[in-house]
Amino acid sequence: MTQSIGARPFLRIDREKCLSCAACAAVCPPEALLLAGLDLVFEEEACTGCAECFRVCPTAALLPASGRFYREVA
Amino acid sequence: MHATEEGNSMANGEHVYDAIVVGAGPAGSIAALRLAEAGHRVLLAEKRPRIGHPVRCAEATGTRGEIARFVPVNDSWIALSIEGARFVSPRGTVFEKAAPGIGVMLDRERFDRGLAEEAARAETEVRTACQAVGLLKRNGSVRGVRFRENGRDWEAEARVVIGADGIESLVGRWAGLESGWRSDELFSCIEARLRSRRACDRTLEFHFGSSVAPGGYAWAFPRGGNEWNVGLGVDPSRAERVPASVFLNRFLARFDPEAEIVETIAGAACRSRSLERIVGDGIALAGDAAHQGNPLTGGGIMNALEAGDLAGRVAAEALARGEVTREALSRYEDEWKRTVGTSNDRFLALADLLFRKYGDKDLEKIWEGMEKFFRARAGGGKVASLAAALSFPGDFVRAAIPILAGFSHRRILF
Repeated sequence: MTQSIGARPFLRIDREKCLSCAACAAVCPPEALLLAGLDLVFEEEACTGCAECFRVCPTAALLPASGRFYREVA
Repeated sequence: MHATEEGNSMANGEHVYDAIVVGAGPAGSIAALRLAEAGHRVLLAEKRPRIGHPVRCAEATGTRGEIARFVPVNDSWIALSIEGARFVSPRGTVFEKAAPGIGVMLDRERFDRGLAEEAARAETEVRTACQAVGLLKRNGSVRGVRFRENGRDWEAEARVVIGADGIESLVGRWAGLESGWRSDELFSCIEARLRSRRACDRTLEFHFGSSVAPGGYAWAFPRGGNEWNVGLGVDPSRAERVPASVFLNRFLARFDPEAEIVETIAGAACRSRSLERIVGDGIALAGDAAHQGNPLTGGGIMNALEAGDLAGRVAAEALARGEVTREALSRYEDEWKRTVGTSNDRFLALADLLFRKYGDKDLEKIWEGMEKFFRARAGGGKVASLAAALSFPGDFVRAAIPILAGFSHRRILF
């Protein structure tokens, strides 16, 4: 099921915006985003680039490496 | 971070429990409490350094009496009692209903800590900053948990594991219970905890509309004094790549542009169907991990208490009988589906209408209908209230009637 995702890393975490809410971890099919204690951890090797995490992040704290995702950013 | 199959070094006797509960939220702590009360040796493991912190909740829930069905209530857990609800339509039409004592605003951090303390008082071993990183399995049955604590991995054996590890649950996935979410099965939520000059009137306020919170709603919940929880949840499939934070900023400008924001918190809430399977051999899920939140409101506390209680009691009995198989634990699954699971599926049907099918114009008609219906009912006219009810769209009536007929209004709100 792994697809080529071009740019690596697929995403960066904006630590100023991330509130450790775990919404992204809840929807990440390959468990590439995990909450370790209070810290969001991204395991790049597991990421398949499905972008479910961007859709659900309440604060736009996940930044796709290739271009923009959000139409408006707070 | 995956399940270990048999053959791995099992516990040396030091870390052997009857039950391990992963996650010290309301579902986990109540499950641990029920298991410990039944005399079982229980470990309650929480990955956060501090139980209940940071809060990921708008803090409105059922009544003190409803909470007391599961645990003695400490006064410090209750921030405020709720006296009514106000619903604001997309165009700003207000429908308000007095409902004295319908529920409470919790101090969620104190509540979560208090529940874990209750479990500890019943001799549960509670560990914080203790992260589950995998399950131990033997012959396909869950037999323990691998933990990471202070950078060191260790294993604990148990005859049953309860996964109460929240929306981000991995326990369920490791056990093969397909408990992951799709992004359109969650409300993407954000909330400002703030101080406002607006008077606290003990009324929960809900705002609807595609420009306020697409596929969800915004809330303003008073906590007493000048403190408020003001937030919203959106359906990511409706928000069209605009993050919830943008909608919150707009809503805050409308609520009180001069409010002082104390803290911003975020989270995700359930808007999915009930899971088919929440138990397996040696494993049960409870709370958000089992998709048990109310999919109409996103509220999860009362359901988590109910699920933790039921899962804990069923697991305790299974342990006492010496067989913690899927079959033995399925009494929990069956009972859940028959009761709250069924009502949750009805709530989802109503949510699908209100949040997905109906546009802002349709919602205005619902508000008009509510006004008419309750005016007619207050006037005592049965015929008039029936006529008013018939002015609602047919699919709304069909979705709402089973809820209104079979369940108390408390369960609709929370």
